[in-house]
Amino acid sequence: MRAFTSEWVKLSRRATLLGFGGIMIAFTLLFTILALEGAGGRSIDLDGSGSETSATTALLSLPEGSVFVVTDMAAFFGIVALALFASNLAGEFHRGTIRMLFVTEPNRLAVLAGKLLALSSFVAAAIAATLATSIGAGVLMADRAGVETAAWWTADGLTAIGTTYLDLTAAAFIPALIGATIAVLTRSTTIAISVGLGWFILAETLLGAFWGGLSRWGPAAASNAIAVGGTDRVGMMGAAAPGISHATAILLALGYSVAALIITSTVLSRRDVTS
Amino acid sequence: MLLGLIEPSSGQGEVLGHPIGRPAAYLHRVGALIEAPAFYPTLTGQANLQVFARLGGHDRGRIPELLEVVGLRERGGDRYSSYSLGMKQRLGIALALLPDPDLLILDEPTNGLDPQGIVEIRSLLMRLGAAGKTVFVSSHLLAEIQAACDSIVMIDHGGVIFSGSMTELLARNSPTIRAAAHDAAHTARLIELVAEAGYPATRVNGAIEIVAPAHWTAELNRLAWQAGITLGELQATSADLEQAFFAMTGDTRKGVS
Repeated sequence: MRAFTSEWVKLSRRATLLGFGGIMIAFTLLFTILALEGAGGRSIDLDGSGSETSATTALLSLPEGSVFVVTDMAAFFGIVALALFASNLAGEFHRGTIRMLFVTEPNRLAVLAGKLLALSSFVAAAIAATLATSIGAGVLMADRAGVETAAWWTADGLTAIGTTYLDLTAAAFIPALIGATIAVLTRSTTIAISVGLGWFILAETLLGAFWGGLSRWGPAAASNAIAVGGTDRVGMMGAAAPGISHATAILLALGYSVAALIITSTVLSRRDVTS
Repeated sequence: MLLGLIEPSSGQGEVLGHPIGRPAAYLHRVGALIEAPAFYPTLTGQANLQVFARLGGHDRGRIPELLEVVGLRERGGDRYSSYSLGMKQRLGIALALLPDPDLLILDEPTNGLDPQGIVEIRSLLMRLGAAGKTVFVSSHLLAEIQAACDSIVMIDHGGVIFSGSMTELLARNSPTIRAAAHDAAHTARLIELVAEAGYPATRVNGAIEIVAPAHWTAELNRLAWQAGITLGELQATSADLEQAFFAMTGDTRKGVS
């Protein structure tokens, strides 16, 4: 608990709030506005595929219409979460503050647990704020776009909001925890973020072209599958990997998370901390 | 290693009665400043101390007092990135004092400080020592060590070449007694007396310098009085720490070769 509250002193600084939480909210707001504008009749190619947006007034008027846009931001949330976790942990080594953290609290696993919990709560809060912002913007723009929002507040609609929030948060934790592991292994902010983003944005897709299993069972695929609620949902930023159910994706995510936690805690607790 | 950051490869040791292999048993009673101070640049000095106070479960109410002690009361609300090297060093010392430690381990605590700051920090460390706290200082500034420390461990090429009290070290390394006969004509006889007692003496600017322990000063005074020589000058001078260090490391090198 002490490590958790200590970490929040750092997370509550303006640079972190704006640099991570603010960017998540700002981009989601932009995406929501463009999606609703597109649904309202403007021709907008949101995903750069050359085809117009898949967000129609009919889709957005469904009970799950309130979270239609934000669901497609899952990959972006994961990237931001990865950058946050990786920069936080690698930064402690880069600045040399890791030494004083471990002198102040010799139980290194307690420091790690507090850090990860605080960072996770930050990501969870940012996603909640992002979701609220997107829904709020949708409500404000609904009339203009010709979207009917009554279904959003039905039991199905509220369930969709809750489920989407949990899925988005769980999906973001996979790249976040892997980013933390890379950060502890490399002790370099630049390398950790580069490697992490490189894998989640590019490498897994490219390698998946040679080995199909990777595009089904890889961490990025699992994260995407969780975010879209399984393989039967398709979002604007790309389809989930075929053949992975939501439950399977959750199990995969647990596996990756546990592996990342074991590696991170083992390395952090056993390695000497030098200047 | 004392702070639990590096695992000992061999050997044993204790800090505050606990083995160094179990740092959690004693680190809550230890404050430390390791090498260059490291803090979060975008946080204020005060917020930086809050990070560590919360983590260690220390009294956050002490933070304003500690900033006052290290002379940062006016700048505690400023970002750490705007601090000068000396201010960063002061904040590092404030952090070391945060747990109200029984043992304070400071690595080059006066690094980057101006002369006034050096005097203030030295005074602070001596006050802490007088209050019953153990202050362990690692420094290359030997004059500072000599001015502030009671005990010293001298290390050369990774090996301990001396461990003991500062007084003992300074007395052991070329202690000198300087004496001068009131009547210059008695100088030769004074040298004879010293030589008969078994100590070498050399004439320096009308006086003589004797390589002998400081406590022999009284004996020399008695011998001169018995010989009818009035001393116009008599004082024991110790080598300073720098001289002692070079004398000892020089001996060590000879021994090695």
